[in-house]
Amino acid sequence: MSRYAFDFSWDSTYGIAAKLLDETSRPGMVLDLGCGEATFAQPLTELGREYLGVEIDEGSVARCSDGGLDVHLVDLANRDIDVVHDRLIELIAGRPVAAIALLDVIEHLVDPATVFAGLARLVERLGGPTLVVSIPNFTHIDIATKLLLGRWDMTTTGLLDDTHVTFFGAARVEAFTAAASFVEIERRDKKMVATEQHFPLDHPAVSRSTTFRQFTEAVRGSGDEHGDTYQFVRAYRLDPTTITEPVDSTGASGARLPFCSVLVRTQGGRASIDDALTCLAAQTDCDIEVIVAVHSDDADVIDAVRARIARYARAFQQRVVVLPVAGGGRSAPLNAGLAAATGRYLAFLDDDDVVTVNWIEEFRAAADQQPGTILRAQCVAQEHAHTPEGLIEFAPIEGFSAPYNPDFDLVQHRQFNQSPICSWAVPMGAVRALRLRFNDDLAVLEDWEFLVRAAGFLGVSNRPAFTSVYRRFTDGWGSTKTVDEDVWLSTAQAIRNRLDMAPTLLPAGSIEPIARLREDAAALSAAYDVAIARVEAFERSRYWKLTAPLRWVTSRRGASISMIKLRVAGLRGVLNARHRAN
Amino acid sequence: MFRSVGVQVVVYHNEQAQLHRLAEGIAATIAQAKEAGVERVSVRFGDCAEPATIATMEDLLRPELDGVADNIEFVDFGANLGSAGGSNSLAAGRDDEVIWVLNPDTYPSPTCSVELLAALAQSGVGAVDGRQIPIEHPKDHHPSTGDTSWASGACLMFRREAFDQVGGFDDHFFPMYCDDVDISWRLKLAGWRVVHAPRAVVFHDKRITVGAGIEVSDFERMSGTLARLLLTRRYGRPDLEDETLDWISTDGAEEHRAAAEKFHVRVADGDVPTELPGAIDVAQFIEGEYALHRFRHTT
Repeated sequence: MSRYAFDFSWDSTYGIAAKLLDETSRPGMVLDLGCGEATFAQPLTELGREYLGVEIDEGSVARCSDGGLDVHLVDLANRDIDVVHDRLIELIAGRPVAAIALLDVIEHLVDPATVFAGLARLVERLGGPTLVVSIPNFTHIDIATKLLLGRWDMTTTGLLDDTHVTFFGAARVEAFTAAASFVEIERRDKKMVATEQHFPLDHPAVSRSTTFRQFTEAVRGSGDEHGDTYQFVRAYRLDPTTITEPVDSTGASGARLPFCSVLVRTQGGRASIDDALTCLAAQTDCDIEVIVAVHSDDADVIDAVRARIARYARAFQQRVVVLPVAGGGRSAPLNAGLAAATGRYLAFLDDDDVVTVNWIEEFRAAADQQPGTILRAQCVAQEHAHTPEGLIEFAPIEGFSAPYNPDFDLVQHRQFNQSPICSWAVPMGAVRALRLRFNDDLAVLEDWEFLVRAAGFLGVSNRPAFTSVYRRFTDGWGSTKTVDEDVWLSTAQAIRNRLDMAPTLLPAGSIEPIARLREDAAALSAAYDVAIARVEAFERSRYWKLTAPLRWVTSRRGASISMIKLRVAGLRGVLNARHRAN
Repeated sequence: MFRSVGVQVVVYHNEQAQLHRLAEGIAATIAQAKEAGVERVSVRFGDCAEPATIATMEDLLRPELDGVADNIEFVDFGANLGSAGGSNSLAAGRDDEVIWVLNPDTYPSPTCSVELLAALAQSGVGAVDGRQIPIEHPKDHHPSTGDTSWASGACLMFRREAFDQVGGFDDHFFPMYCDDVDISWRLKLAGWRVVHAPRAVVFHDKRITVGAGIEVSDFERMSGTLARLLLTRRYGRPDLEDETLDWISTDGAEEHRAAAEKFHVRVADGDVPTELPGAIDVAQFIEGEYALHRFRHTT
């Protein structure tokens, strides 16, 4: 008996594939390529389908034939594809083919591109039957976690079947099928959390209770949605008119990318956008692309922004792209920018903020220091007021302040933001790899939540130079404060709670300061206990009782010791509550 | 609207890339001015460095301005005339109705020229300055008329009539600083208005220090202190002159003492501005500044 003689069930890959095939193809015969022991024949027969299988293993073919199944010997790996096709046409014998199944086969063949190209020709010759495939997902979390700890466990079947000669993740499946002009009709990918790779017992890579496994699951989940996909089960139709690029698995690209894309977020109406654009036009490092995301569905507003840009020097205009963004909240233009950016990094500038001439230059220096991390430089804040009666509608009312921690402290950032959006840039390679997006659900603080998530993965390259001015409008005019304070606070707490639900990777040196804080809090609490005990002992003393009449007089003029005691006790209560919360 | 504008930039060891960027900005903004009706624009770069390097930059800068500017000149002063002397030299013997002085470390926004010209066209206005970014100058201005104590020379536009009437900048203010305060106050003494145009945006390459202040070099600190002493002399404030010199002798840093030393030498040589009659009516010495300030930056 072959190692591939599986028992059939409807929730198995074959069951899922059978239903998918039945729902996406016209009535008629199914040609099952590489059919093995023809397990797929059972559900298809139940669904009323005529079945024709081909297989390279003579023993399997013999057993299937003995069982009365229409299964024949064909070598799909034959280099002469015409010979294979002629043989298949001969076996089909003029019967209409509704679908071709290629289940758990392609990973056994050394040249998948040629196989898919041959399949495209066969499908065309047969008048366009549906193609249904199932392909094991080599990027499953089980393989990833074990590989991290140095384990590579080949098995007789499953994800690491020792007869597999090529491997697929989601992107490779999509690339190969698209290159052969197959268009996906529907997918029913088979999910499996605990695969046959779940051994040895209690290995930290496979035990889902371990922090290591939980963290790697969170990391893997950022890459794509296929961490728990066991097999890609998909149906395709052939569309010879689709033109796609040849598959390039090296990831290399000849196109020269700008160092940094800059997303200017605007609603279009404010004169302050000229401040932002002029700052960008004056940069010492001009290797930038400027994406002006106009968050408006008003064509006149968008045209007005285009007209503003058309006034700038030609060299700058050529670096600017206008990106209209309709609908959505504050995150919508940011996410549109993430999708459109072509630079190696992406920086952000709201239309009411300004930057110094070396803003990009400092980001480049940070990238040179630690490529691939979040790039951060220092930012000052400046209070502004809306001045509708003045010659211009906004004006500073205070000098610069430096309220943000010059160092990037991830733990502190988890408490509250220390980095306005104009003070950092994110590597686009990481944005794509981790599918980073601004959270659409957030009415405010979307930049903080994004930064903390991204920095947790990437770390931060921090520069001491001040390069940006965050203009704060205390009267609600600018982009900063358009919601009530209570919404702000409740959103902040919700973000903190959500972030705390996932395991967190902290940079080296993060734990000791926290440990010291807890020690300090414990020492303070103990000191207060001692103080309270002393006050209480004093109150029980003979002296205290004897001086009670005098105290009645003095208490008319100020706080009594009892009041002090109450305050100390209250403070102790707060400390204890915080200690318990920690 | 004015028919002709002369843009002038005094340079001194400035980097090629910086001037190239400025030329791009000037070209874009004078294109807007021409669209608004200005018929003729000339652009002049004058170099105070010895030896001058501006000629070597001509091939880079001229193409940016060709086709927009009607006349482009690169002048080797042959000596360090300072900011005031250089600006006077570039303005001399021309007939542009408007003189626009720009620092070499600026970048005017596209509409900067048009906004400045509109402000200058108001009745009685002799000089107007633009709003500097990213570090806005804190000096106060009238919220609806723009009238202000003085106009900053980083981006300063004059009616030629007014400029000539007061004899241009006073080159006693060498090498730099307060020449703009001085000419503003002399214009006021002559009856002209000096205004600020906040919609005229000009980028000025000023940097922010670690303490959220404005980066000032030792040379700038020395020049600024010397200029202050010269200004107190011109505007009849011996009390402030003494106060400044006292402060320098007790608390001043090396660059402040150097300024005091130069001042004493210039007084001995008679190389200081003469006191103006009526100066007290226009001069504003407020908390160490030359105007009421809306807020304070740390330096």
